[in-house]
Amino acid sequence: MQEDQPAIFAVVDPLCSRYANTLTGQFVSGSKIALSAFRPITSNTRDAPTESAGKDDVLIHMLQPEFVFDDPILRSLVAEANSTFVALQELKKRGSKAEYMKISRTYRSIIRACLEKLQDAIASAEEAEDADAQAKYQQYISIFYSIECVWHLSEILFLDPTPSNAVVPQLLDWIRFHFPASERMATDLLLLGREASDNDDYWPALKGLILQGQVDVARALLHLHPQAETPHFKLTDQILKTMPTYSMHGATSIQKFRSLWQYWLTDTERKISANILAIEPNLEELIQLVTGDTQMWNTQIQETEYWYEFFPGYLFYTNNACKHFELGNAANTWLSRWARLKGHNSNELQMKQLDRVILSLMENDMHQVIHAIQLMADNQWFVTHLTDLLYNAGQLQIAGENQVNECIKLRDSLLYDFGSSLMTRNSLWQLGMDYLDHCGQEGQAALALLLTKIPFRTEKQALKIICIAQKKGFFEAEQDICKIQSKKSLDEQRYGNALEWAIRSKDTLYVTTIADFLLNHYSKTGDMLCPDVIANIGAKMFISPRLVFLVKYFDFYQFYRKRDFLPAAELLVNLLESKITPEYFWPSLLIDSIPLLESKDPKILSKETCAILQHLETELVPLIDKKKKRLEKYPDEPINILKDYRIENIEEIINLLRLACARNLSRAIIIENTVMG
Amino acid sequence: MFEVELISADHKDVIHDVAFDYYGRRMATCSSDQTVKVWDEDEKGNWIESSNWKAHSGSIWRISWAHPEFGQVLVTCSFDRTASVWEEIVGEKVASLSTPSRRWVRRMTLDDSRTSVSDVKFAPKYLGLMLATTSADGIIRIYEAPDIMNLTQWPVLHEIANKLPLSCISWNTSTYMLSSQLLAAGSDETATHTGKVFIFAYSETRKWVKTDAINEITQPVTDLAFAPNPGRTFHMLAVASKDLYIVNIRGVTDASANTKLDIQATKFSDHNCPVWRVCWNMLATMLISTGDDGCVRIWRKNYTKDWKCAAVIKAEGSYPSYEPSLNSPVMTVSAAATAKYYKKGSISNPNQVPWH
Repeated sequence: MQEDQPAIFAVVDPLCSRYANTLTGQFVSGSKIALSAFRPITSNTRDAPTESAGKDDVLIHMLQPEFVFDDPILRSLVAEANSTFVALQELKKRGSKAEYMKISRTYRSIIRACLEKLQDAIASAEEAEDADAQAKYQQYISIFYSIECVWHLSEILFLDPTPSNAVVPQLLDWIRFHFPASERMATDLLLLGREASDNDDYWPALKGLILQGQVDVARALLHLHPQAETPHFKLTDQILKTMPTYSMHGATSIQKFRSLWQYWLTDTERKISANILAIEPNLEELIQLVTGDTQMWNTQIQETEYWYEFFPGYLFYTNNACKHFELGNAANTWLSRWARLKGHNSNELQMKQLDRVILSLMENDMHQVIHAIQLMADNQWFVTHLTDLLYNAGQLQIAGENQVNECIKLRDSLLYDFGSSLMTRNSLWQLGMDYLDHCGQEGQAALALLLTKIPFRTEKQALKIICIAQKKGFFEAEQDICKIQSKKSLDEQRYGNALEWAIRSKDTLYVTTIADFLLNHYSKTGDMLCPDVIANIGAKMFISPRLVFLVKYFDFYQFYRKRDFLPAAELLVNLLESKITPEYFWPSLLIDSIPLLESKDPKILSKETCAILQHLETELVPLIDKKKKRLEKYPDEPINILKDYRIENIEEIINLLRLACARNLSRAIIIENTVMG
Repeated sequence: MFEVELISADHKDVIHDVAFDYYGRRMATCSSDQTVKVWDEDEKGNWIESSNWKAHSGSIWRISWAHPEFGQVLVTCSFDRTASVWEEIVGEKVASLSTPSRRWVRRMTLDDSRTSVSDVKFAPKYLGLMLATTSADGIIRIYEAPDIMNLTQWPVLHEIANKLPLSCISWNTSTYMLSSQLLAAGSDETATHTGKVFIFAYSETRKWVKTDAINEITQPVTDLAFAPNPGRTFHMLAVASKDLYIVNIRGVTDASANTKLDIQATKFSDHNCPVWRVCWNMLATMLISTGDDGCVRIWRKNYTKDWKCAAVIKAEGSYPSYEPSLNSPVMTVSAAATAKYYKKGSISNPNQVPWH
């Protein structure tokens, strides 16, 4: 089949055809791709400037499939249809026929409203003399008009079966909506009253109505004629009035209906062959149509543009009780007749896509219908929504060994594609989520992934996405966004923000990294980067031992700065004992104890002074030895702990500490013993 | 229909790699002119060059972005036998309203290879900030930055030696139903007729072990890529060789509770010529393959999980004459080949049959 051949596109890029070059492509995001010239490289390619270096332009082509829903009018269509889609899912496949009909009609009225808005847009584009906009809206109208037409017919055939399964009355409704000319004329004429028959449209309107099976309106129009009371008009009216109709609700049995019809038909044909109406050719034509006169209908067929235009009308007079399963045959017979009369060789019949889809629908070939409507330039909006509706209503029937399974797969895959294509569009991602939400496990996984791919620029946007991720229980997505936001803040030197985002991510490792960064910075510069945030962390600090250390150290730092030395000393001693001190922080922490140790009135007890001394000898001294040995081996490594911003030389630090401890110990012992004594 | 935007890359020689960041809003290009360029997409969708610098002293083969939680980090590899890690740093704000200046600095040169470094890829982020290089001498090196706040330290964690020269490497993107992390590498060696794709697994003994070679693929392999894996129960690897291969990999447990890989390669010969590169879209529902014939093919997975070529894009050397051939209607894009500025145009789909 021709449609199964891949479509071929071309880009102009001379560099691609130089030497052995070719064209390469990369996905950007969504279905956007980047193309560029490519030179094949292997692992033994020698490196030299290529012969085209500096000559040909090096180009990158960004290609993006056209996306119609960027237009405001169509955007509102997508948004409105989305809420209908959600309502449909809420029925959970257990809705009544009436509920599915209501959904289908809602979809269609959304399309019709959209078509009206598009018409208005064309009018204003015309006024503004914007030919491009006009052409664009014209194209949209032709797309969505076709969609409405196919949807309407699908609704009749699949969602609204009559109890008797007869389709003709509904087909007449369908054709009347899509070829409204006669009905419009009739409305105007009826308003004219008695003068209607003087109008040039009078007889064409009547014929049009009869061709569409609108017998009652035709009779009303006939009554307006001044000669309505003459025998010919009366006879015509009588024939039309007595025409039997097959009840949609199956009140009459089909056999009974057929015999009634046959009786009426024989009677009417007898009247015509008796030339009773010969002097009123207009009336005679109408009656000939009603009796399904071959010659008469053939003449009419030649005037039509679309094969299905008079088909429902013809069925109405010749096979009024036609059932859905008979429709395919009837349609094909009619189509070949139409093609023959229009002078087409039926083998080469060039049918437009819409014509073909309508035939496939009548043939009940859903596989073909779905295949065809995927080619509409509507970014799969129609095929997705129609397939989903039929699936939910239990009316999706496609060929395949494992039918039910195939239907679910098809419907899910359409939802998946449509949802993900909306989600990779900036402004429509929230609508896309609903589709991914309803297509199984893979949809959920795609949703979680795509949520993290939404490029957020502001904190507000990030919070919105996180809020959604939380609701959906996508813990990892939430964590990812928090960490990205944290790193971004850090790069922008907004440290408090970075710490808050890290805590929000609940990732212990990541929080530790950020806390390390802040402590490291402090130990190098003596500058505490985001005091306000650290002061307010509270219980959240328990997410990471390093954060606990940071917060506790900060408390010490606060006491110390407020010259509240006693609690400061107590905290410091606790920190030293805590076993959560990071290696790099030992020098800083011990140096902090020096002024407290040197205080004239001791702040630290003798027992604790011994402990400090103990830490100095068992933690810091071995650490320094280790580092020195490492530096001998790798002289390029940063010296880290061998340096403090307060005291250049680490040896000096150790000496100072030992001295301070000794002095404090002596003072403390004296006082402690004196007091005790 | 396609909307087309043409960017003049202004590189002095051919581009070897184009890479997009996590969101598809930043682009990095590297070229035989030994420079790297970084591009940003603005609010209107235009791509603006934001930085360019000379990065190596040889052709730069490949470029790759780290996950944004590690910041704005790139890695490049070159014929000059090195790979380099680059980080974008934000300068001081000049005025309160202006956006701060940004520039890229080299954080580390990975100079362990004695031959051209043919490929470099960052590991999936759940492994930390880690990357793997392949080189023409057949060695895979895995590096890690233990402190993600300090990108100047990249110790080599593992070296995996192979007999064949290596051209490409890819990390599996998930470990679903597998007992370990997988890594695949390909060789473009032409003399032997053995399998050219190797699968390595990170074993419990903390070593990388070669577990499989894909024997169906004996022709030189120039690129391979594990597919992103949102919610799939098996793993997919695309391989560019004499043909395109899509390899499905499943972890299976045999009777004695040993886990091993069930590997099934499907060949796609539509190109009818060697394939040079492969690229997945973010949900692994589409794949682009680069043929030797001036065409890229775009593949789609249909609802029955089969792969079909959905579109072909071919390069034309010059403007076509006014006789469009039937099966390759040339786009109506009006961009002049020498245009220095991008232009917008559209290409129409020849399969789009009129509806009215």
